[in-house]
Formats: sequence, C-alpha cells, structure tokens
Amino acid sequence: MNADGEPAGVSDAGVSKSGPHLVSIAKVACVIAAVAVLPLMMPINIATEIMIFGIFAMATNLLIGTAGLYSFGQAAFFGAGGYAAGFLLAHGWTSLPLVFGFAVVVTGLLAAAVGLVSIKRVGIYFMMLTFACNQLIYYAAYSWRSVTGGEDGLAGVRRPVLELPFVGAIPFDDNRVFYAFTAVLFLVAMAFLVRVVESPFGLVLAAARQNTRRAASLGYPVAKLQLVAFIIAGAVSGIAGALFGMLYRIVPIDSVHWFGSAYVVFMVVIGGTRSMIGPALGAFVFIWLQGLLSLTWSRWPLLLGLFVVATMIFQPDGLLALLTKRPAWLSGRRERSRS
Amino acid sequence: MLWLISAQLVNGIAIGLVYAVMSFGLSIIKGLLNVPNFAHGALYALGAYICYAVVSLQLPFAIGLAAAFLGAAVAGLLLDRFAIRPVGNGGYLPQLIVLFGAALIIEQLLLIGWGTVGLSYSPPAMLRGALNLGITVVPRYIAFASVFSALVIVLVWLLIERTKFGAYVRAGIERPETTQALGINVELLLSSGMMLGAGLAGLAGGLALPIVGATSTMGGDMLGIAFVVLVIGGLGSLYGSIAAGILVGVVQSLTTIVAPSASTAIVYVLMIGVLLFRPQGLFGER
Amino acid sequence: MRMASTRRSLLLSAAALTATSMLPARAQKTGPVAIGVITPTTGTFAYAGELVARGAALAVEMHGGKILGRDIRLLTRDDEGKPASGVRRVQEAVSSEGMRFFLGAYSSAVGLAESEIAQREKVLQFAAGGSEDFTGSRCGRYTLQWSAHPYTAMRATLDYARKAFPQKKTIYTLTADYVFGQALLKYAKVVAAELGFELIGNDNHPFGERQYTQYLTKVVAAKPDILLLNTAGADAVTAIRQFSSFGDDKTAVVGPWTLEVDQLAELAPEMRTGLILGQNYYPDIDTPANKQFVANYTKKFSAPPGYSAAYAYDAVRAILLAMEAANSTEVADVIKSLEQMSWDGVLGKMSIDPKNHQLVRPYFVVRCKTAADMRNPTDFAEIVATEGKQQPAELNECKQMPAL
Repeated sequence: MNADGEPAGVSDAGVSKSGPHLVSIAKVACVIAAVAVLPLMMPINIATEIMIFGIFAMATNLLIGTAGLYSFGQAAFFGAGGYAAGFLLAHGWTSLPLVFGFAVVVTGLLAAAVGLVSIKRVGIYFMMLTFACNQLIYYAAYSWRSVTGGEDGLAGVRRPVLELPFVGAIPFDDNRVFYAFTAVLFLVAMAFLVRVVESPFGLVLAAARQNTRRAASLGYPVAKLQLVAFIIAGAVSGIAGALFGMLYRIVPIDSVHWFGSAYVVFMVVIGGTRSMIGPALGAFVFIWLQGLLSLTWSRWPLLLGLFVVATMIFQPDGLLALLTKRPAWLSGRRERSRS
Repeated sequence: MLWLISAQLVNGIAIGLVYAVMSFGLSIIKGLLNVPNFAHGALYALGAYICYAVVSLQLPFAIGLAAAFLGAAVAGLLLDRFAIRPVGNGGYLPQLIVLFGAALIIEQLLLIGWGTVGLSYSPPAMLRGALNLGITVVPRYIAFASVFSALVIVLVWLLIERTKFGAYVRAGIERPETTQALGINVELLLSSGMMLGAGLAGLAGGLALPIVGATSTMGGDMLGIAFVVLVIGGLGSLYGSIAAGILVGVVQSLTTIVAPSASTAIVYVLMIGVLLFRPQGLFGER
Repeated sequence: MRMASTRRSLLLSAAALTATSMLPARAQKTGPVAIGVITPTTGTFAYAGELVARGAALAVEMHGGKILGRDIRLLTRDDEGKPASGVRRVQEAVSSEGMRFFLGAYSSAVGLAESEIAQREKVLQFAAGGSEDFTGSRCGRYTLQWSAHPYTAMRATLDYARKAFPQKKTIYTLTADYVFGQALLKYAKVVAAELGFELIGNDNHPFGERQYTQYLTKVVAAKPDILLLNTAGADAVTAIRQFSSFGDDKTAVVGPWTLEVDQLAELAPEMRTGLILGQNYYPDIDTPANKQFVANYTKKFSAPPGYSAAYAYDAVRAILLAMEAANSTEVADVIKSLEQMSWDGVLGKMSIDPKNHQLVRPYFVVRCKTAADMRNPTDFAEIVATEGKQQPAELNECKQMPAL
C-alpha cells in the first residue's frame, strides 16, 4: 500500500518495509478516518456503494496494476457474486458465512473457467476474450430467468444475519449497520489485497507484468500465478457484487453488463493503478461525480467524458498522484512519443 | 428448409459485408497506429447522423454517403490530434479510456445536435422494394448495400496494394521502425491512416442509415461486433477482418433458423472457439 | 510531509462534498412535499426523461404549486434507463431529501427494481411500463401501475383487427425474447383463439437486435395476413423499418404495444402508413381533462404531449387529488384514498383496482396516416378504437396485497 506513485510490486514492498513505520500507520489511520467520515458527507446508500465499488475496483487493480492483465470482463464476476448470494438470500438462507462462502466459490470457479480460456493470450486478445466471456455470462443471466429473474432482476433479496457466539444475531436491516459492515469488509479487502501485492506471489506477478519472458525464464510458472490472481480478483469482485445485491435487495441485470467492466477499469485508471488507495479513490470520484453531474445537465455524460479525457491527458498516473505530488504537466518535463 | 438456408446465407453475406467495412477500418487503425479504436462505434453513429443531415437537405443519397465518410474522417483526425497523441505511448489502457471518453462526448453531441428521438430515412425510390432471387427475396437496399460495401473494400484494397500511399501504409504496418528511416513523414501517414479507418466507420454508418436508422446508442451495438470480427480475422492481418465479417454475418443469420434468440450471443461463442484453436485469429500470423 | 498534504486534500474535498451534498434529513410535517420524478434522460430511453418531467411540472403548475397549504417540490433524477441507477437515485432521495412519493420509471426493469425500495421504505411509486409483473407476481401495496395491462392492450388491438379485417385469418408473430415480449405472446394466443385468428408462426428475437431481415425473410415467405409485433421501442422501430424495405403491402402490420406516440416520429411517414398500433395515450383523446391538458401543454411547450408527458401529468394529478381527498400527505392515507377513488383523468373515468393496483383505464388503437393525410408533422394517426377490457382475474398472479 503506497500512495507515493511508485510502481506497485517490487519497489512498493521495498519501500513499505524499509520506510519509517510511522508513515504506514498514518496511512492506515487516514484510510480508516476517510471511511468513518464518508457517510456523514453523503446519503448513506451512496457511501455504501462507494465502499462496494471500492472493493470491486481494488480487486480489478490486482489484475490491471499488479499483474498487467487488462481484463474487460470483471462485471461478470461482480454480477455472478450478486446472483449467487442473492439467490440464497431470496430463498431463505440468510447465514452470513454461507452466503459469502457460496458467492466466493461460485465466482472463483467462474473466474477459473474464464481465466483458463483467456490467460495465455496477451494484449487485445486477452481484453477481447474476457469481454466475450462477460457477454456470454450476461446472456446466460438474461435467459436463466428462474434463477436470475432475467431483465427484471433477482428480487426479494434479504440481508444476511451474522450469528456471533456470546453476542447473538446481528441483523443488517439498518442502513447504517449495513454501511459499517461494508466498510469493515472494504478495509479487510484492502488489507488482504495489499498483502497479496506485497507477497512473493505479488512480486512475481509484477515482474511478469514488466517482462513476462524474463519472469518465465527464471522458472516461475507465470501463467499459473496469473490464473490464481485472476481467480482471487474474481472472488473478491464476487463479494462486492453480493454486497451490492444486499444493499438494494435486488440484483439488477445491469450488474453483470459489460458497462460495469468498463466503468471499473475507469475507476482503477482514473484513481491510479499503483496502489490500492488509487482504485478506491477512483470509485469515490466516479460515483460521486456521476451523481453531481447528473443533477446539472441532461447531457451530463458529455461532461463525464471530458473529465475522463482530461484526466488521462493531464494526469495519466491517476488522481491519487495529484494529491501526493506535483503533476507532470506542471513540472514541465513531458516526454511524448508515439509507438 | 433448403430455401431457408440459402435465404439466410444471402442475408448473412449482405450483413457481413457491412460488418466487413466497419472492421476493415478498425483493422487499418489497429495495424497502423496500434490503437484499439474504442470510438469506432461513435464514428459509425456520427456517419449515420451526417448522412441523415445531408439527405434531409434534399441532396442525393450518394452525397450523404460521401459526407458520412468525410465527416467521420475529420472526426478521426481530431481524435488523433486531441485524444490519442496526448496520451502518447502509455499503452492500450490510456488509449482505450481516452477513446471511450471521446465516444461518450461524440454520442452526447449527436443528441444535442439532432435530439433524443431516433431518425429514419427511406432509401431513394430506385432502391425500395424487394428483389426476387427465385430462392428468396432480398430487399433491394440490402442488395445494394452489400454490393456497395464490396466495391468499397475493393477500392481500399487497390489503394493499399497499388498506390504509393498504400506502399507506405504497408511499410508502416509491417516495419514501423524502418518507415521513419526511409524519410516518410510518419505523423502524416498515421493521421491519414486514422482518417481512412474512421472514414470507413462513418461510411458504414451512412450505409446502415436506411436499415437501422440513426440513434445515439447505435454505435455501442456495432462496436462489440466490429471488435469480434477484428479478433476473429486476426490482429496481424489487414484483410482478415473482411472474411471474418462475412463469416460472422453468415453464422449470425444461420443461427436464426435454429435458435433465433441466441443469434447475438453466438458471435462471442464463435470468437472464443476460434481463439481457442487459432490464438492469432483466422488469418493472423505468428 | 506527504501524508500531511494528503490529509489536507482529503479534508478539502470533504468540505467541498459537504457543501454540494444535501444535509436535510426526514420529511417534515410543514416543509414542502417532495415528489420524485425518476426517469431516463440518458441511455436507450433518453427521449422520455424530459417529457416526463414536463408533464409532472405542468400538473404541479395547474394545481397552483401547493397541496394542502404546502409547497410542492419536484425532484428530477436521471435513472439512465438502468435498474442499478434507478434504485440508487430513489434510495438517495428517500433518505436525504425526504421524498415520499415518486414517479418511476419509464422502463419496467427499472421500475420493478425501484418497487423493491418502495415497499421497503414505504414510499408511493406510481410506475409506468409494459411489464405485467407490476400488478402480477411482483405487485406491492406501495406501487401503482399507470400503463395498461398487456392483456388489455392485446385485447383492444386484436378486437379492432378482427372488426377491421373480417377476411384476414393468419397471424405471424415476431416476439422480443424477454419477459414483456413473452407476456404479449401469451395473451396473443389467448385472444387470437377467441377471435378466430390462426397463429402460423413465431420468431423470437434477442432484445436489442438490429438485424431483422433474417426473421422478416421467413415472414415474407410465410405470407401471413397479419404480422403481429410483440416487441417494443427501438427494436420495434428497426423491425418496422426493415419490414417496409421488403415492400410487402399485403401483410398488415399490427402492434399491440409497440410504439407509443412519442416514438412515431422515428419512422418516416411511408414506413408508418397503415400501421395499426395500440396506444396508452394519444393526444386526440376526447375527454375534458385531456383537452385541458393538451391545450395547456401545447401552449407551454409548443408541441403536443405524448405518452410520457401524459403519464406524468395524470399520475401527479391523481396523487394530488388523493392527498386532497384524504386531507393528508401521509403515504398510507394517500394510498387508501387512491384505492377507493374514481376520477376524471385524461383517459376518461379512471380508478385503481385495489386487488392489484392496476389502473382501470381504456386503451386506444390508432391507424397511422399517409403523408398526404397528415395535417401537421405530429398528426401521425387517428384513433380507430377505444376499449378497456381488464385482465381476467383468474390470470392475475398478484396473490394478496399486504397491509400498509
């Protein structure tokens, strides 16, 4: 976890291990404070959505920022997680570990299948294969009405109940309690993903991103490790999707649409791919901006498009870099060449 | 049954040729600039709207098609200057996102310019009604669109294979590093490649106007198919997308005989199937 | 140093957010009454959003802007035609703007998703859209359906077709492969059997299909008397456009719930000519309330109203009438009052069926005019039949309305 704009992976782990301990503690405190303040600044459901899409974006960043796998089909796992959890919750199974366990298993298996088909392809082929799998899963969800509700969505989703020893059952029907629960999962997901990125496994992924052949020639089973990363990202996205279904008590068909895949890539890149704070920031900016812009003008996607284009041109490293250092176009050393 | 298969075959080839024009443009842009043009769908929509604007001034349809090509080509030039170049060599991801953003902008501009209600245009009188081919009937306009698409493809093929400009284009695709050393103005070459590719998208849009009308969301429908065709054809192959376009049109059309509701999903199955057996696409090398 | 600047920026953006986001919480007994208008201004149904907002605004204006001495405040939000955005905007407005009544949505998938929130948060939703599930398997005490039931639409349209073409027998159906299209097909079978039509073929097409020639080739070869379109919106526009390119004028094209008047302009006059279409609303409807509505709307917006505007106008007006009848702006009181009320709406005598919350209303069948017969650019068609047969009770899937 590093907000300084260094590449994730190799150097990232080095910094946080050798760097002063205080900085890491301050960062953790900052993130927790932000999560605590968020629901005071906006409607609680929007804050909850930011947490949910934050989890989704961070999971996607494991692929984009660390492994260099530009997946364009992550919404398939987000949606599948929603359907898996939602199906149990709509049919009376409300045990929290069961629901999330099922969502993780389903999306993990689905990600394994998609990963097996696509992981060995590079560049646009990989993007297109993940996109195509997303489309197929969308059509499957669309047609499988008895389970997914087709285009009308899977309705009647209940929120799960957490059974704790000594404490008793904790329901999540209150939106503030549900936010707290989502926020805890968000922090856990962030800690988990940072650990993954900084682990030897993450370092090999990052090395393979920079030079696949070299990593492979050093004897690492690159394709297998990438597949594992794909499964992890899929399963964590599935958790986010499950939370989304619980939030509005419905799993809408567009949760599995490829637009979701594109938007999560937007969030990741706009926030910054070099740490896990970047994607979370991207999710925040994206959702908040959509809400704000849509109130100003009925042609608001134009403004969103301008924002996206301007961010990519003037702040290619993401908005997080804007918060932490002077942007490249101010320091005046810009290198531009075409490939 | 036999007539039905042949009828769908004819229909599939006709539709496939329009796909081919669309993907051919995508293929040129990918080959020359190494950019996945995610604004291709928006350029297609732009072409349809420009064509509509021209014919509603009572000008002939042919001028509408020419304007669709030119308008989209100019838009392609602007995209190149103000979106693709500024993100430079950051790789696919920034290019893709910047083009996606540009597509959002173009689509909203179309809504501002022409309103939120979709538009329709009936083809010129001589292209209305249906042709009886014996085995099946084909609307005259569909027949015209496929013949016209085939002509456009041949023309662009001639341009690339038989002219000096084409030789530069081929050199730019096959050996981008040596092109500059040969004293060719690479910037100009890349811009004209982008214009040609974007123009083909606009032309496909103008051609599709009498068939699917003009709506701001029409680009999204077409974009997925165009990329599928490109990938099936093979990214390394300039002409692969032509055969792949026809293939996709025919497969889609034949699917409607047995499982009509699967005809949209089938193209993705086809693509995954092709890539499993030929990772480089049908005509790609390496 | 760096962290300090990060934190400062975070605080700054927090301050900016607080300034722009809204702080007032629950609805108060004295402040303005907030009515939400949650409709698409972007996406596939982008044309509808502004029209719905116009209709709602006109209803408020003609009511004097006040209800029971309190101001009426309209909250307009974009649902983008996406269920996920719809629920987001509804929940947001409920929890931070005190919205207790809303119109939503134009697309039934969005409306059904919002209905989940409506039941949960106990806010009144006046919906429009084609799905029979609003008043069927997913009916709810807090959701009312303004649009006609698909059965009513099919019945009215085919009744007219029977009367207008006594010699026609065979029907080929083209059906959108999703819940709405399949519901129309189900009722087409029921009604066609009663009226002596023969269904000789059906093709399902995927939602969002843009190539219809492959289906239409089969239709033309089958030579049916009637092509019945169980599909709607942009899909239907494209199908009709491509069917017209075959130049087959022996087959009558009939659409029970295919294109509302709002979308007729999408087709060139020669593509529309002779189409027989069912309509939820048409500006020529001859009722006093509609005449007043059309006059005021046309004066204010220099264009005649369509389905979107009429739905919003009539639904807001009904809510306000119910508030007055109940002398209350509490949701429960307003719903009870709506369930018992009968009023002169733009469509005629209207009421709500308390068993399933379907609006009891007539449905209209129009025949599209040739270009030469049109008196002005929006004179698309003439009303040829008006009929309001409700869905037979034994076919309704709404089991029981829960208590408020």
